[in-house]
Amino acid sequence: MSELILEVKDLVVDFRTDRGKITAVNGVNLEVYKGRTLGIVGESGSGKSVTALSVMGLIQKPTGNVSGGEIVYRGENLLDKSVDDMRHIRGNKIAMIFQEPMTSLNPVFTVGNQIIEVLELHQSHLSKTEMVDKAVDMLKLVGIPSPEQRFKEYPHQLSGGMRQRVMIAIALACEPDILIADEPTTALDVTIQAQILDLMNKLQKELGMGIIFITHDLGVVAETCDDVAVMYCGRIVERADVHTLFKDPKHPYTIGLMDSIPSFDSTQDEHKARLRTIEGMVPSLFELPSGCSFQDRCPRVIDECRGAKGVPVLSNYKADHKVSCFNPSH
Amino acid sequence: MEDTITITMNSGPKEKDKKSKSLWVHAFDSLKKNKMAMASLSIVVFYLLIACLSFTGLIGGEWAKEIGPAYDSPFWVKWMSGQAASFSIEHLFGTDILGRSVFYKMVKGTEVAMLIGFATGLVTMVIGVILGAVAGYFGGKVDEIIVWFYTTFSSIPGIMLLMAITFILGKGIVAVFLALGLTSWVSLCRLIRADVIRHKNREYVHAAYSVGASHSRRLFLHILPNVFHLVIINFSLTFQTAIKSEVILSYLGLGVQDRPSWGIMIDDAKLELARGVWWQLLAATAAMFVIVLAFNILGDALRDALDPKLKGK
Repeated sequence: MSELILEVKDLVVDFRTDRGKITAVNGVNLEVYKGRTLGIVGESGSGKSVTALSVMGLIQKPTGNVSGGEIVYRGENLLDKSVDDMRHIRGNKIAMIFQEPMTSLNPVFTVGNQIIEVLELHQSHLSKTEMVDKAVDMLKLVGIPSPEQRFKEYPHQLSGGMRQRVMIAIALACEPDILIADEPTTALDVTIQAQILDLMNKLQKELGMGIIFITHDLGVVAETCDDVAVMYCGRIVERADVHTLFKDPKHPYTIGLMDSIPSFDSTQDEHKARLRTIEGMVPSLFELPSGCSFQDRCPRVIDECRGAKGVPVLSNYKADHKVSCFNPSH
Repeated sequence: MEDTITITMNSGPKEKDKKSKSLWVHAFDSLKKNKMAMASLSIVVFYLLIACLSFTGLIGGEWAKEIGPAYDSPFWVKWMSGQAASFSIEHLFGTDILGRSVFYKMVKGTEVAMLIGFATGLVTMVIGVILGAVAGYFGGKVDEIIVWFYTTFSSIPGIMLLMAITFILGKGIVAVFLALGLTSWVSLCRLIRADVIRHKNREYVHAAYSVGASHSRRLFLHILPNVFHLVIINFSLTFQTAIKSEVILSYLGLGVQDRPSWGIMIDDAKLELARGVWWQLLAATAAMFVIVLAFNILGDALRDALDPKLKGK
């Protein structure tokens, strides 16, 4: 196994709302390795974005608060770092790309300026011309044609796919160890999605960074990730490498997700013609049931799930395959 | 290869070698299409030019010189009543009580008006932008204090406050523009605060944070350029309000001293009118009317050009 660069241990993140405190992330453990991609999958509100934002130190206080756990980056706990130290890490060692390329770029600056800004912040020893050269190189690296021309253009002159490439260029300008991609392809159409995913895979091979890839699209996971963590209601319910997870999912929720992928040959089979879904709704974080949060939607629910034995713990089903379920599928 | 195709489809062949335009260039382009706005802009530039020339003493320097008898009517008035008079620029608006050229006083008054407009606009801008941006960006307690402060401040009747401040600061041009600046920043502050609140949760600001930008960098480098059009529009409106307010202050005897201003000229005219001397009033009001109108039209056109929401209306 390659070098471990980031370890999230028992992370707990709370949010204060008008209706009381909610725990958006509850005891999450993750490891990111050099040159590998970790996918975090889950529905909206399952805590995947919040986990990523905590790593960046982007949880907005006082509403949000990281109330427990550790985020260890190369042996140092990021949660103990001062504001200034974190500023040097953000964008430099750990970078992030966002879901909405349309609004993530500042409309009043040229894209070139926005790449140079990161360099000004973290590589101030470079001269102005070196920065310009490097910014143009970055645009070239992310596959933007005629980069010298694009360098001088404003975000509104670029398409969504181009803007996401620019975002990636900004994120990679300082050659970070870790790239966090928060649903980077959700706002793009499918052909552009494929291009962006290819680009990320290619850049990872070239630069060797670890990627945390957040998505709700299992197709994207299969395409890009090495390891996968499935999240539900702020907890990780299953973790394995991508082949194991797709071949042999154990948690009923993961199985449900796999079954809900529309299949093109389903038309041949009469009873499979309808799209399968997971019954019910994600419970509100205000009124999580005691025991397993998935109990009310689970086809394999047994008495233990109802709270008598507490919340199921993520434990080894096999080596490198963890499940938190009292009654996993066999 | 696919990329190249995407690009050509997006930008079109025409735009290929065109230089990218910034927001300001775009705004100026749309301003250029508006004939009224361009006329107003040239009037403003013309006034500024006169003010500069007068400031350097190239014109209007001899405003204190006696050029004829007291209350000598303008030469064109004499022509109309059949009297003989020669054309002379200094007699364009006749003379005042001391026989001084009203025209030169008007020119000198332009300098005062422009100076007051500009300085007031600047004071308003500095206070309004800083307080508004800080309140909007940091929110919470800071915001509450600033909002409380300007709400209280704006509840005091403007003219009372203006008088109080000029009394404290004493007479003179500095006192006038400080007083005007200190009383007119509230509306700009409100606008900036509201717009900063709108922008601070935009993703590009989060993105700036995620690359390690500090608070001040995010506020002043990222958010402020996006709300700066408000400052420009407000500046042009404050400018003309200040010119009008200077007249009121002078009328109340709190205006500038030792040099002519439009306000003092109008103030003088209240006694002169009874004696049938109206040219001093005409000169000052005409000069003021033109610049205030020009600034109003320009301010309106700037708003249309700079506010993206009104684009393509």
